[in-house]
Amino acid sequence: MGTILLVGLGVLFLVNLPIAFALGASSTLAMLIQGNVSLMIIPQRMFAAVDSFPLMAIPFFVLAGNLMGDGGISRRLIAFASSIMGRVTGGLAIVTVATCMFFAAISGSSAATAAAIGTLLIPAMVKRNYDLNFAAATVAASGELGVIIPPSIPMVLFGVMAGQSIGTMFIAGFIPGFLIAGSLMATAYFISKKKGFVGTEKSSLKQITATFKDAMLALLMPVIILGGIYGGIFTPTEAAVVAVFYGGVIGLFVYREIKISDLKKIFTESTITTATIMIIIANASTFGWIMTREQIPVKIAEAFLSISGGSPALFLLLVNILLLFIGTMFETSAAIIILTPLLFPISQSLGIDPIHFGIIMIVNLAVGMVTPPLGINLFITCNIAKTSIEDLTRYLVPYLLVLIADIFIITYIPQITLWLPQFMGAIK
Amino acid sequence: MNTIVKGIDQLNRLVIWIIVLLLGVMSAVIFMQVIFRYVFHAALPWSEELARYLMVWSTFLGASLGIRRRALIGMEVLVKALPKLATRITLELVTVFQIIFLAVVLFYSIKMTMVANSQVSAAMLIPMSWAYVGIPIGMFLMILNTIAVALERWEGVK
Repeated sequence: MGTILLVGLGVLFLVNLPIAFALGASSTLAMLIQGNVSLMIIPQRMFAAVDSFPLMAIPFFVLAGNLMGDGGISRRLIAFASSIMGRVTGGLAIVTVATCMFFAAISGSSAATAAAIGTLLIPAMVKRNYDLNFAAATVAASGELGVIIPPSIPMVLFGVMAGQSIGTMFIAGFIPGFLIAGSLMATAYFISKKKGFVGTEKSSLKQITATFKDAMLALLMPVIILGGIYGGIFTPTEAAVVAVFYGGVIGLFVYREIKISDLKKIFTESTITTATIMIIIANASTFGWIMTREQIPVKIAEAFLSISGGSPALFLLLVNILLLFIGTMFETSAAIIILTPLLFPISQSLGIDPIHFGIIMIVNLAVGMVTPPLGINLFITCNIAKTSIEDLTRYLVPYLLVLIADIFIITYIPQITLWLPQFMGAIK
Repeated sequence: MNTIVKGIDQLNRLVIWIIVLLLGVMSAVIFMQVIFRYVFHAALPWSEELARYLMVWSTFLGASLGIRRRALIGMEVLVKALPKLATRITLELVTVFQIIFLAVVLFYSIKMTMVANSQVSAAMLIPMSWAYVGIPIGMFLMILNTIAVALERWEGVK
Protein backbone atom coordinates (compact mmCIF):
# COMPACT_ATOMS: atom_id res chain seq x y z
CA MET A 1 0.00 0.00 0.00
CA GLY A 2 2.83 2.33 0.92
CA THR A 3 4.72 1.75 -2.32
CA ILE A 4 1.66 2.38 -4.51
CA LEU A 5 0.96 5.50 -2.50
CA LEU A 6 4.40 7.04 -2.94
CA VAL A 7 5.06 5.90 -6.52
CA GLY A 8 1.54 6.97 -7.52
CA LEU A 9 2.09 10.38 -5.98
CA GLY A 10 5.42 10.81 -7.78
CA VAL A 11 4.02 9.85 -11.19
CA LEU A 12 0.89 11.97 -10.82
CA PHE A 13 2.98 14.99 -9.77
CA LEU A 14 5.17 14.66 -12.83
CA VAL A 15 2.28 14.49 -15.31
CA ASN A 16 0.93 17.82 -14.04
CA LEU A 17 -2.10 16.66 -12.09
CA PRO A 18 -2.76 19.43 -9.52
CA ILE A 19 -0.97 18.68 -6.21
CA ALA A 20 -4.27 18.32 -4.35
CA PHE A 21 -5.64 15.66 -6.71
CA ALA A 22 -2.28 13.88 -6.97
CA LEU A 23 -2.41 13.38 -3.19
CA GLY A 24 -6.07 12.30 -3.24
CA ALA A 25 -5.84 10.06 -6.28
CA SER A 26 -2.69 8.24 -5.17
CA SER A 27 -4.39 7.55 -1.82
CA THR A 28 -7.51 6.29 -3.60
CA LEU A 29 -5.43 4.01 -5.83
CA ALA A 30 -3.53 2.62 -2.87
CA MET A 31 -6.80 1.88 -1.06
CA LEU A 32 -8.43 0.32 -4.14
CA ILE A 33 -5.56 -1.94 -5.02
CA GLN A 34 -4.52 -3.25 -1.65
CA GLY A 35 -6.61 -1.95 1.15
CA ASN A 36 -9.61 -3.60 2.65
CA VAL A 37 -10.90 -0.21 3.79
CA SER A 38 -14.08 1.53 2.67
CA LEU A 39 -13.49 4.43 0.30
CA MET A 40 -15.95 6.40 2.42
CA ILE A 41 -12.85 7.21 4.47
CA ILE A 42 -11.90 9.70 1.73
CA PRO A 43 -14.77 12.20 2.09
CA GLN A 44 -14.74 11.66 5.86
CA ARG A 45 -11.06 12.60 6.11
CA MET A 46 -11.59 15.52 3.74
CA PHE A 47 -14.37 16.89 5.89
CA ALA A 48 -12.52 16.40 9.17
CA ALA A 49 -9.40 18.12 7.82
CA VAL A 50 -11.18 21.26 6.62
CA ASP A 51 -13.63 21.45 9.52
CA SER A 52 -11.07 23.28 11.67
CA PHE A 53 -11.32 26.57 13.54
CA PRO A 54 -7.55 27.33 13.62
CA LEU A 55 -7.38 26.89 9.83
CA MET A 56 -10.08 29.52 9.45
CA ALA A 57 -7.33 32.07 10.09
CA ILE A 58 -6.25 31.42 6.49
CA PRO A 59 -9.32 32.77 4.63
CA PHE A 60 -9.45 35.72 7.00
CA PHE A 61 -5.76 36.63 6.63
CA VAL A 62 -6.02 36.29 2.85
CA LEU A 63 -9.13 38.49 2.80
CA ALA A 64 -7.56 41.08 5.12
CA GLY A 65 -4.44 41.18 2.93
CA ASN A 66 -6.51 41.66 -0.23
CA LEU A 67 -8.61 44.39 1.38
CA MET A 68 -5.48 46.23 2.49
CA GLY A 69 -3.69 45.64 -0.82
CA ASP A 70 -6.54 46.96 -2.96
CA GLY A 71 -7.28 49.70 -0.46
CA GLY A 72 -4.18 51.75 -1.27
CA ILE A 73 -2.05 50.48 1.60
CA SER A 74 0.95 49.43 -0.52
CA ARG A 75 1.36 52.93 -1.97
CA ARG A 76 1.28 54.54 1.48
CA LEU A 77 3.76 52.06 2.92
CA ILE A 78 6.13 52.77 0.02
CA ALA A 79 5.81 56.54 0.55
CA PHE A 80 6.61 56.16 4.23
CA ALA A 81 9.58 53.84 3.67
CA SER A 82 10.91 56.18 0.94
CA SER A 83 10.75 59.22 3.18
CA ILE A 84 12.99 57.52 5.73
CA MET A 85 15.34 55.40 3.65
CA GLY A 86 15.04 56.72 0.11
CA ARG A 87 18.02 59.06 0.42
CA VAL A 88 20.80 56.49 0.89
CA THR A 89 22.66 54.74 -1.93
CA GLY A 90 20.37 52.16 -3.50
CA GLY A 91 17.52 53.92 -1.73
CA LEU A 92 14.62 52.44 -3.68
CA ALA A 93 16.04 48.91 -3.41
CA ILE A 94 16.27 49.29 0.36
CA VAL A 95 12.77 50.78 0.35
CA THR A 96 11.61 47.64 -1.49
CA VAL A 97 12.90 45.41 1.28
CA ALA A 98 11.42 47.67 3.97
CA THR A 99 8.02 47.86 2.26
CA CYS A 100 7.93 44.09 1.80
CA MET A 101 8.59 43.85 5.53
CA PHE A 102 5.67 46.13 6.37
CA PHE A 103 3.43 44.44 3.84
CA ALA A 104 4.43 41.01 5.18
CA ALA A 105 3.07 42.10 8.52
CA ILE A 106 -0.35 42.42 6.88
CA SER A 107 -0.28 39.66 4.32
CA GLY A 108 0.55 36.04 5.02
CA SER A 109 1.97 35.00 1.68
CA SER A 110 5.15 35.57 -0.29
CA ALA A 111 3.56 35.60 -3.72
CA ALA A 112 1.02 38.26 -2.69
CA THR A 113 3.79 40.38 -1.19
CA ALA A 114 6.00 40.17 -4.28
CA ALA A 115 3.06 40.97 -6.56
CA ALA A 116 1.74 43.90 -4.53
CA ILE A 117 5.12 45.57 -4.05
CA GLY A 118 6.66 44.62 -7.39
CA THR A 119 3.90 46.15 -9.48
CA LEU A 120 4.59 49.55 -7.92
CA LEU A 121 8.31 49.51 -7.17
CA ILE A 122 9.85 47.83 -10.23
CA PRO A 123 8.65 50.60 -12.60
CA ALA A 124 9.67 53.23 -10.02
CA MET A 125 13.21 51.81 -9.82
CA VAL A 126 13.56 51.57 -13.61
CA LYS A 127 12.50 55.21 -13.87
CA ARG A 128 15.39 56.12 -11.58
CA ASN A 129 17.90 54.27 -13.77
CA TYR A 130 18.16 51.13 -11.70
CA ASP A 131 18.86 48.04 -13.76
CA LEU A 132 15.56 46.30 -14.49
CA ASN A 133 16.89 42.90 -13.51
CA PHE A 134 18.34 44.22 -10.26
CA ALA A 135 14.94 45.71 -9.43
CA ALA A 136 13.15 42.45 -10.17
CA ALA A 137 15.70 40.37 -8.23
CA THR A 138 15.29 42.66 -5.20
CA VAL A 139 11.51 42.27 -5.25
CA ALA A 140 11.72 38.49 -5.67
CA ALA A 141 14.16 38.14 -2.79
CA SER A 142 12.29 40.42 -0.39
CA GLY A 143 8.94 38.86 -1.25
CA GLU A 144 9.91 35.85 0.83
CA LEU A 145 9.59 37.97 3.96
CA GLY A 146 5.84 37.54 3.42
CA VAL A 147 5.80 34.11 5.06
CA ILE A 148 8.48 34.78 7.67
CA ILE A 149 7.21 37.97 9.24
CA PRO A 150 3.89 37.25 10.97
CA PRO A 151 1.05 36.78 10.25
CA SER A 152 2.01 33.91 7.98
CA ILE A 153 -0.19 31.28 6.34
CA PRO A 154 2.53 28.58 6.42
CA MET A 155 2.93 29.24 10.16
CA VAL A 156 -0.80 28.65 10.68
CA LEU A 157 -0.48 25.41 8.71
CA PHE A 158 2.59 24.26 10.62
CA GLY A 159 0.90 25.06 13.92
CA VAL A 160 -2.14 22.98 12.99
CA MET A 161 -0.21 20.07 11.48
CA ALA A 162 2.38 19.84 14.28
CA GLY A 163 0.04 20.74 17.14
CA GLN A 164 2.01 23.87 18.08
CA SER A 165 0.73 27.26 19.17
CA ILE A 166 0.18 29.50 16.14
CA GLY A 167 0.68 32.58 18.32
CA THR A 168 4.10 31.33 19.45
CA MET A 169 5.06 30.57 15.83
CA PHE A 170 4.15 34.15 14.91
CA ILE A 171 6.28 35.67 17.62
CA ALA A 172 9.20 33.34 16.84
CA GLY A 173 9.20 34.59 13.24
CA PHE A 174 10.01 38.17 14.20
CA ILE A 175 13.77 38.16 14.77
CA PRO A 176 14.51 35.76 11.87
CA GLY A 177 12.39 38.09 9.72
CA PHE A 178 14.37 41.14 10.81
CA LEU A 179 17.65 39.29 10.31
CA ILE A 180 16.70 38.41 6.74
CA ALA A 181 15.36 41.90 6.00
CA GLY A 182 18.54 43.49 7.41
CA SER A 183 20.83 41.26 5.39
CA LEU A 184 18.85 41.88 2.19
CA MET A 185 19.06 45.64 2.76
CA ALA A 186 22.82 45.42 3.26
CA THR A 187 23.16 43.39 0.04
CA ALA A 188 21.02 45.89 -1.87
CA TYR A 189 23.23 48.70 -0.54
CA PHE A 190 26.50 47.09 -1.60
CA ILE A 191 25.28 46.14 -5.07
CA SER A 192 23.90 49.64 -5.59
CA LYS A 193 27.14 51.22 -4.45
CA LYS A 194 29.11 49.13 -6.92
CA LYS A 195 26.73 49.77 -9.80
CA GLY A 196 26.13 53.42 -8.97
CA PHE A 197 22.39 53.28 -8.26
CA VAL A 198 21.84 56.44 -6.24
CA GLY A 199 19.21 57.43 -3.73
CA THR A 200 16.39 59.90 -4.14
CA GLU A 201 16.53 63.43 -2.75
CA LYS A 202 16.39 63.90 0.99
CA SER A 203 12.99 64.30 2.54
CA SER A 204 12.34 66.72 5.35
CA LEU A 205 11.18 65.74 8.80
CA LYS A 206 7.84 67.26 7.85
CA GLN A 207 7.51 64.87 4.92
CA ILE A 208 8.41 61.94 7.11
CA THR A 209 5.72 62.85 9.63
CA ALA A 210 3.18 63.39 6.85
CA THR A 211 3.83 60.02 5.19
CA PHE A 212 3.90 58.35 8.59
CA LYS A 213 0.48 59.77 9.44
CA ASP A 214 -0.81 58.56 6.09
CA ALA A 215 0.57 55.05 6.61
CA MET A 216 -0.11 54.88 10.34
CA LEU A 217 -3.45 53.08 10.06
CA ALA A 218 -1.76 50.37 8.00
CA LEU A 219 1.16 50.09 10.41
CA LEU A 220 -1.26 49.75 13.30
CA MET A 221 -2.79 46.58 11.87
CA PRO A 222 0.04 44.20 12.88
CA VAL A 223 0.00 45.79 16.33
CA ILE A 224 -3.70 44.98 16.68
CA ILE A 225 -3.30 41.44 15.33
CA LEU A 226 -0.22 40.46 17.30
CA GLY A 227 -1.06 42.47 20.39
CA GLY A 228 -4.51 40.89 20.45
CA ILE A 229 -3.12 37.37 20.21
CA TYR A 230 -0.39 37.80 22.83
CA GLY A 231 -2.57 39.84 25.11
CA GLY A 232 -4.85 36.81 25.22
CA ILE A 233 -7.72 38.84 23.77
CA PHE A 234 -8.23 36.85 20.58
CA THR A 235 -7.36 33.49 19.12
CA PRO A 236 -5.33 33.82 15.88
CA THR A 237 -8.51 33.15 13.88
CA GLU A 238 -10.41 35.89 15.71
CA ALA A 239 -7.46 38.27 15.29
CA ALA A 240 -7.60 37.56 11.56
CA VAL A 241 -11.29 38.44 11.38
CA VAL A 242 -10.66 41.64 13.32
CA ALA A 243 -8.02 42.43 10.68
CA VAL A 244 -10.67 41.85 8.00
CA PHE A 245 -13.00 44.42 9.54
CA TYR A 246 -10.17 46.83 10.23
CA GLY A 247 -8.88 46.55 6.65
CA GLY A 248 -12.40 46.83 5.25
CA VAL A 249 -13.28 49.95 7.22
CA ILE A 250 -10.00 51.66 6.26
CA GLY A 251 -10.24 50.74 2.60
CA LEU A 252 -13.92 51.66 2.28
CA PHE A 253 -14.33 54.66 4.55
CA VAL A 254 -10.93 56.13 5.47
CA TYR A 255 -8.73 55.85 2.38
CA ARG A 256 -11.83 55.34 0.23
CA GLU A 257 -9.94 53.44 -2.44
CA ILE A 258 -12.28 50.46 -2.58
CA LYS A 259 -15.97 50.67 -3.35
CA ILE A 260 -18.72 48.39 -2.06
CA SER A 261 -18.99 47.03 -5.61
CA ASP A 262 -15.31 45.94 -5.48
CA LEU A 263 -16.07 43.68 -2.53
CA LYS A 264 -17.54 40.92 -4.69
CA LYS A 265 -14.27 40.59 -6.62
CA ILE A 266 -12.12 40.78 -3.45
CA PHE A 267 -14.23 38.13 -1.68
CA THR A 268 -14.19 35.85 -4.73
CA GLU A 269 -10.41 36.10 -5.20
CA SER A 270 -9.84 35.51 -1.48
CA THR A 271 -12.08 32.42 -1.42
CA ILE A 272 -10.41 30.92 -4.48
CA THR A 273 -6.91 31.55 -3.08
CA THR A 274 -7.96 29.93 0.20
CA ALA A 275 -9.69 27.02 -1.52
CA THR A 276 -6.56 26.16 -3.52
CA ILE A 277 -4.71 25.70 -0.19
CA MET A 278 -7.59 24.04 1.70
CA ILE A 279 -8.27 21.50 -1.06
CA ILE A 280 -4.64 20.38 -0.70
CA ILE A 281 -5.17 20.02 3.06
CA ALA A 282 -8.35 18.01 2.46
CA ASN A 283 -6.63 15.56 0.10
CA ALA A 284 -3.40 15.43 2.11
CA SER A 285 -5.49 14.22 5.02
CA THR A 286 -6.40 10.94 3.32
CA PHE A 287 -2.79 10.64 2.23
CA GLY A 288 -1.56 11.21 5.77
CA TRP A 289 -4.05 8.68 7.11
CA ILE A 290 -2.63 5.92 4.90
CA MET A 291 0.95 6.96 5.68
CA THR A 292 0.32 6.68 9.39
CA ARG A 293 -1.48 3.37 8.92
CA GLU A 294 1.49 2.00 6.96
CA GLN A 295 3.93 3.56 9.44
CA ILE A 296 5.73 5.33 6.60
CA PRO A 297 6.82 8.31 8.77
CA VAL A 298 8.44 5.85 11.20
CA LYS A 299 10.29 4.12 8.36
CA ILE A 300 11.47 7.42 6.89
CA ALA A 301 12.52 8.53 10.36
CA GLU A 302 14.61 5.39 10.77
CA ALA A 303 16.29 5.91 7.41
CA PHE A 304 16.96 9.56 8.23
CA LEU A 305 18.32 8.68 11.66
CA SER A 306 20.64 6.00 10.31
CA ILE A 307 22.02 8.43 7.69
CA SER A 308 22.49 11.24 10.18
CA GLY A 309 23.68 8.91 12.93
CA GLY A 310 21.33 10.50 15.43
CA SER A 311 23.07 13.86 15.18
CA PRO A 312 20.60 16.77 15.25
CA ALA A 313 23.09 19.03 13.39
CA LEU A 314 23.49 16.57 10.52
CA PHE A 315 19.73 15.95 10.42
CA LEU A 316 19.09 19.69 10.14
CA LEU A 317 21.65 19.95 7.35
CA LEU A 318 19.81 17.21 5.43
CA VAL A 319 16.54 19.01 6.10
CA ASN A 320 18.05 22.28 4.84
CA ILE A 321 19.11 20.66 1.57
CA LEU A 322 15.86 18.72 1.11
CA LEU A 323 13.61 21.70 1.80
CA LEU A 324 15.61 24.09 -0.36
CA PHE A 325 15.18 21.64 -3.21
CA ILE A 326 11.48 20.99 -2.51
CA GLY A 327 10.88 24.72 -2.06
CA THR A 328 11.94 25.44 -5.64
CA MET A 329 9.22 23.11 -6.92
CA PHE A 330 6.30 23.47 -4.53
CA GLU A 331 4.50 26.40 -3.06
CA THR A 332 5.42 26.84 0.63
CA SER A 333 1.94 25.95 1.92
CA ALA A 334 1.73 22.74 -0.10
CA ALA A 335 5.20 21.69 1.03
CA ILE A 336 4.38 22.36 4.71
CA ILE A 337 1.19 20.30 4.45
CA ILE A 338 2.98 17.32 2.90
CA LEU A 339 6.28 17.41 4.78
CA THR A 340 5.37 18.38 8.35
CA PRO A 341 3.88 14.96 9.21
CA LEU A 342 7.05 13.32 7.84
CA LEU A 343 9.80 15.52 9.25
CA PHE A 344 8.34 16.84 12.48
CA PRO A 345 8.31 13.49 14.36
CA ILE A 346 11.99 12.95 13.49
CA SER A 347 12.92 16.40 14.77
CA GLN A 348 11.14 15.59 18.01
CA SER A 349 12.93 12.30 18.52
CA LEU A 350 16.19 14.23 18.12
CA GLY A 351 15.14 16.75 20.75
CA ILE A 352 14.94 19.79 18.44
CA ASP A 353 12.66 22.54 19.73
CA PRO A 354 9.31 22.24 17.89
CA ILE A 355 8.92 26.00 17.30
CA HIS A 356 12.51 26.33 16.10
CA PHE A 357 11.97 23.44 13.71
CA GLY A 358 8.84 25.08 12.29
CA ILE A 359 10.71 28.31 11.62
CA ILE A 360 13.58 26.37 9.97
CA MET A 361 11.11 24.65 7.64
CA ILE A 362 9.41 27.90 6.68
CA VAL A 363 12.63 29.88 6.13
CA ASN A 364 14.04 27.09 3.95
CA LEU A 365 10.93 26.74 1.82
CA ALA A 366 10.68 30.52 1.46
CA VAL A 367 14.20 30.69 0.06
CA GLY A 368 13.29 27.82 -2.28
CA MET A 369 10.60 30.09 -3.73
CA VAL A 370 13.27 32.50 -5.03
CA THR A 371 15.70 29.82 -6.22
CA PRO A 372 16.02 29.31 -10.00
CA PRO A 373 14.91 27.68 -12.15
CA LEU A 374 11.50 26.95 -10.62
CA GLY A 375 10.89 29.34 -7.69
CA ILE A 376 7.37 30.77 -7.76
CA ASN A 377 8.38 34.28 -6.69
CA LEU A 378 10.68 34.42 -9.71
CA PHE A 379 7.84 33.72 -12.11
CA ILE A 380 5.70 36.40 -10.53
CA THR A 381 8.37 39.11 -10.58
CA CYS A 382 9.58 38.18 -14.08
CA ASN A 383 6.01 38.50 -15.21
CA ILE A 384 5.67 41.96 -13.70
CA ALA A 385 9.09 43.15 -14.90
CA LYS A 386 8.74 41.50 -18.34
CA THR A 387 12.14 39.91 -18.03
CA SER A 388 13.41 36.33 -18.09
CA ILE A 389 14.63 34.22 -15.19
CA GLU A 390 18.02 33.84 -16.93
CA ASP A 391 18.56 37.62 -17.05
CA LEU A 392 17.37 38.09 -13.50
CA THR A 393 19.61 35.36 -12.09
CA ARG A 394 22.82 37.39 -12.38
CA TYR A 395 21.52 39.90 -9.84
CA LEU A 396 19.79 37.26 -7.80
CA VAL A 397 22.93 35.28 -6.96
CA PRO A 398 24.27 37.64 -4.25
CA TYR A 399 20.82 37.77 -2.63
CA LEU A 400 20.58 33.98 -2.71
CA LEU A 401 23.99 33.52 -1.13
CA VAL A 402 23.01 35.90 1.67
CA LEU A 403 19.68 34.12 2.15
CA ILE A 404 21.41 30.75 2.37
CA ALA A 405 23.80 32.17 4.95
CA ASP A 406 20.71 33.38 6.86
CA ILE A 407 19.26 29.86 6.73
CA PHE A 408 22.37 28.47 8.36
CA ILE A 409 22.45 31.19 11.02
CA ILE A 410 18.78 30.60 11.86
CA THR A 411 19.19 26.80 11.83
CA TYR A 412 22.28 26.58 13.99
CA ILE A 413 21.68 29.44 16.42
CA PRO A 414 18.30 28.48 17.93
CA GLN A 415 18.36 31.54 20.18
CA ILE A 416 17.61 33.81 17.20
CA THR A 417 14.24 32.11 16.92
CA LEU A 418 13.60 31.22 20.54
CA TRP A 419 14.82 34.27 22.46
CA LEU A 420 11.75 36.44 21.83
CA PRO A 421 9.10 33.79 22.63
CA GLN A 422 11.06 32.89 25.77
CA PHE A 423 11.41 36.54 26.73
CA MET A 424 7.66 37.01 26.33
CA GLY A 425 6.96 33.86 28.27
CA ALA A 426 5.31 32.07 25.34
CA ILE A 427 7.65 29.10 25.79
CA LYS A 428 9.87 28.01 28.65
CA MET B 1 -19.34 22.55 -27.44
CA ASN B 2 -19.22 26.27 -26.86
CA THR B 3 -22.71 26.24 -25.39
CA ILE B 4 -21.65 23.66 -22.81
CA VAL B 5 -18.77 25.88 -21.66
CA LYS B 6 -21.11 28.89 -21.58
CA GLY B 7 -23.64 26.93 -19.56
CA ILE B 8 -21.00 25.94 -17.01
CA ASP B 9 -19.79 29.52 -16.75
CA GLN B 10 -23.37 30.66 -16.19
CA LEU B 11 -23.57 28.23 -13.29
CA ASN B 12 -20.20 29.50 -12.04
CA ARG B 13 -21.59 33.02 -11.83
CA LEU B 14 -24.17 31.73 -9.38
CA VAL B 15 -21.47 29.85 -7.45
CA ILE B 16 -19.45 33.09 -7.19
CA TRP B 17 -22.38 34.79 -5.45
CA ILE B 18 -22.66 31.84 -3.09
CA ILE B 19 -18.99 31.88 -2.10
CA VAL B 20 -19.07 35.66 -1.62
CA LEU B 21 -22.00 35.15 0.72
CA LEU B 22 -20.28 32.25 2.53
CA LEU B 23 -17.12 34.26 3.27
CA GLY B 24 -19.21 37.29 4.24
CA VAL B 25 -21.31 35.32 6.73
CA MET B 26 -18.22 33.52 8.06
CA SER B 27 -16.49 36.85 8.77
CA ALA B 28 -19.60 38.39 10.30
CA VAL B 29 -20.28 35.40 12.56
CA ILE B 30 -16.76 35.20 13.98
CA PHE B 31 -16.63 38.98 14.40
CA MET B 32 -19.90 38.73 16.34
CA GLN B 33 -18.36 35.99 18.47
CA VAL B 34 -15.57 38.38 19.50
CA ILE B 35 -17.99 41.23 20.15
CA PHE B 36 -20.34 39.08 22.22
CA ARG B 37 -17.54 37.76 24.36
CA TYR B 38 -15.92 41.11 25.09
CA VAL B 39 -18.83 43.51 25.01
CA PHE B 40 -21.74 41.44 26.27
CA HIS B 41 -19.67 38.83 28.19
CA ALA B 42 -21.75 36.11 26.60
CA ALA B 43 -20.25 33.36 24.48
CA LEU B 44 -22.22 32.40 21.38
CA PRO B 45 -22.64 28.62 21.38
CA TRP B 46 -23.21 28.21 17.66
CA SER B 47 -20.93 30.73 15.94
CA GLU B 48 -17.79 28.63 15.63
CA GLU B 49 -19.60 25.56 14.36
CA LEU B 50 -21.58 27.51 11.79
CA ALA B 51 -18.44 29.22 10.49
CA ARG B 52 -16.59 25.91 10.25
CA TYR B 53 -19.33 24.31 8.17
CA LEU B 54 -19.48 27.37 5.93
CA MET B 55 -15.72 27.05 5.42
CA VAL B 56 -16.16 23.41 4.33
CA TRP B 57 -18.68 24.55 1.74
CA SER B 58 -16.53 27.43 0.57
CA THR B 59 -13.49 25.16 0.22
CA PHE B 60 -15.17 22.73 -2.15
CA LEU B 61 -17.17 25.32 -4.10
CA GLY B 62 -14.13 27.62 -4.28
CA ALA B 63 -11.93 24.81 -5.54
CA SER B 64 -14.28 24.28 -8.50
CA LEU B 65 -13.73 27.91 -9.53
CA GLY B 66 -10.03 27.37 -8.89
CA ILE B 67 -10.09 24.61 -11.52
CA ARG B 68 -11.87 26.88 -13.99
CA ARG B 69 -9.23 29.59 -13.52
CA ARG B 70 -6.40 27.06 -13.63
CA ALA B 71 -5.36 28.16 -10.15
CA LEU B 72 -4.86 24.64 -8.81
CA ILE B 73 -1.19 24.23 -9.46
CA GLY B 74 0.75 21.16 -10.50
CA MET B 75 4.18 20.62 -12.02
CA GLU B 76 4.03 21.86 -15.59
CA VAL B 77 7.74 21.68 -16.33
CA LEU B 78 8.06 18.09 -17.41
CA VAL B 79 4.89 17.91 -19.48
CA LYS B 80 5.74 21.14 -21.30
CA ALA B 81 9.18 19.75 -22.18
CA LEU B 82 7.66 16.79 -24.05
CA PRO B 83 7.11 16.79 -27.83
CA LYS B 84 3.89 18.59 -28.77
CA LEU B 85 1.80 15.51 -29.47
CA ALA B 86 2.96 13.79 -26.28
CA THR B 87 2.06 16.91 -24.27
CA ARG B 88 -1.46 16.84 -25.72
CA ILE B 89 -1.98 13.15 -25.08
CA THR B 90 -0.70 13.46 -21.51
CA LEU B 91 -2.95 16.45 -20.81
CA GLU B 92 -6.04 14.64 -22.13
CA LEU B 93 -5.27 11.46 -20.19
CA VAL B 94 -4.63 13.42 -17.00
CA THR B 95 -7.96 15.22 -17.48
CA VAL B 96 -9.81 11.92 -17.82
CA PHE B 97 -7.99 10.59 -14.77
CA GLN B 98 -8.90 13.70 -12.75
CA ILE B 99 -12.59 13.32 -13.70
CA ILE B 100 -12.57 9.67 -12.64
CA PHE B 101 -10.99 10.55 -9.28
CA LEU B 102 -13.52 13.34 -8.67
CA ALA B 103 -16.37 10.99 -9.64
CA VAL B 104 -15.18 8.38 -7.12
CA VAL B 105 -15.11 11.00 -4.36
CA LEU B 106 -18.50 12.29 -5.55
CA PHE B 107 -20.00 8.82 -5.22
CA TYR B 108 -18.61 8.13 -1.76
CA SER B 109 -19.37 11.61 -0.47
CA ILE B 110 -23.03 11.16 -1.46
CA LYS B 111 -23.00 7.89 0.45
CA MET B 112 -21.43 9.60 3.48
CA THR B 113 -23.98 12.41 3.34
CA MET B 114 -26.86 9.92 3.32
CA VAL B 115 -25.42 8.01 6.27
CA ALA B 116 -24.92 11.26 8.17
CA ASN B 117 -28.55 12.26 7.75
CA SER B 118 -29.39 10.68 11.08
CA GLN B 119 -26.52 12.41 12.94
CA VAL B 120 -26.96 15.81 14.55
CA SER B 121 -24.29 18.51 14.97
CA ALA B 122 -22.97 19.23 18.46
CA ALA B 123 -23.89 22.89 18.86
CA MET B 124 -26.57 23.87 16.36
CA LEU B 125 -28.31 20.46 16.45
CA ILE B 126 -28.76 20.48 12.67
CA PRO B 127 -28.45 17.28 10.60
CA MET B 128 -24.77 16.68 9.80
CA SER B 129 -25.78 16.05 6.18
CA TRP B 130 -26.27 19.81 5.74
CA ALA B 131 -22.58 20.29 6.39
CA TYR B 132 -21.43 17.18 4.50
CA VAL B 133 -23.43 17.85 1.34
CA GLY B 134 -21.04 20.70 0.46
CA ILE B 135 -18.52 18.04 -0.57
CA PRO B 136 -20.62 16.22 -3.23
CA ILE B 137 -21.89 19.54 -4.60
CA GLY B 138 -18.31 20.78 -4.80
CA MET B 139 -17.14 17.54 -6.46
CA PHE B 140 -19.90 17.80 -9.05
CA LEU B 141 -18.93 21.41 -9.84
CA MET B 142 -15.27 20.40 -10.01
CA ILE B 143 -16.11 17.75 -12.62
CA LEU B 144 -18.08 20.30 -14.68
CA ASN B 145 -15.25 22.81 -14.54
CA THR B 146 -12.63 20.20 -15.44
CA ILE B 147 -14.77 19.48 -18.51
CA ALA B 148 -15.09 23.19 -19.31
CA VAL B 149 -11.31 23.66 -19.19
CA ALA B 150 -10.78 20.59 -21.40
CA LEU B 151 -13.37 21.72 -23.96
CA GLU B 152 -11.79 25.15 -24.10
CA ARG B 153 -8.39 23.57 -24.74
CA TRP B 154 -9.91 21.54 -27.58
CA GLU B 155 -11.45 24.61 -29.17
CA GLY B 156 -8.08 26.30 -28.93
CA VAL B 157 -6.34 23.47 -30.75
CA LYS B 158 -8.83 23.35 -33.64
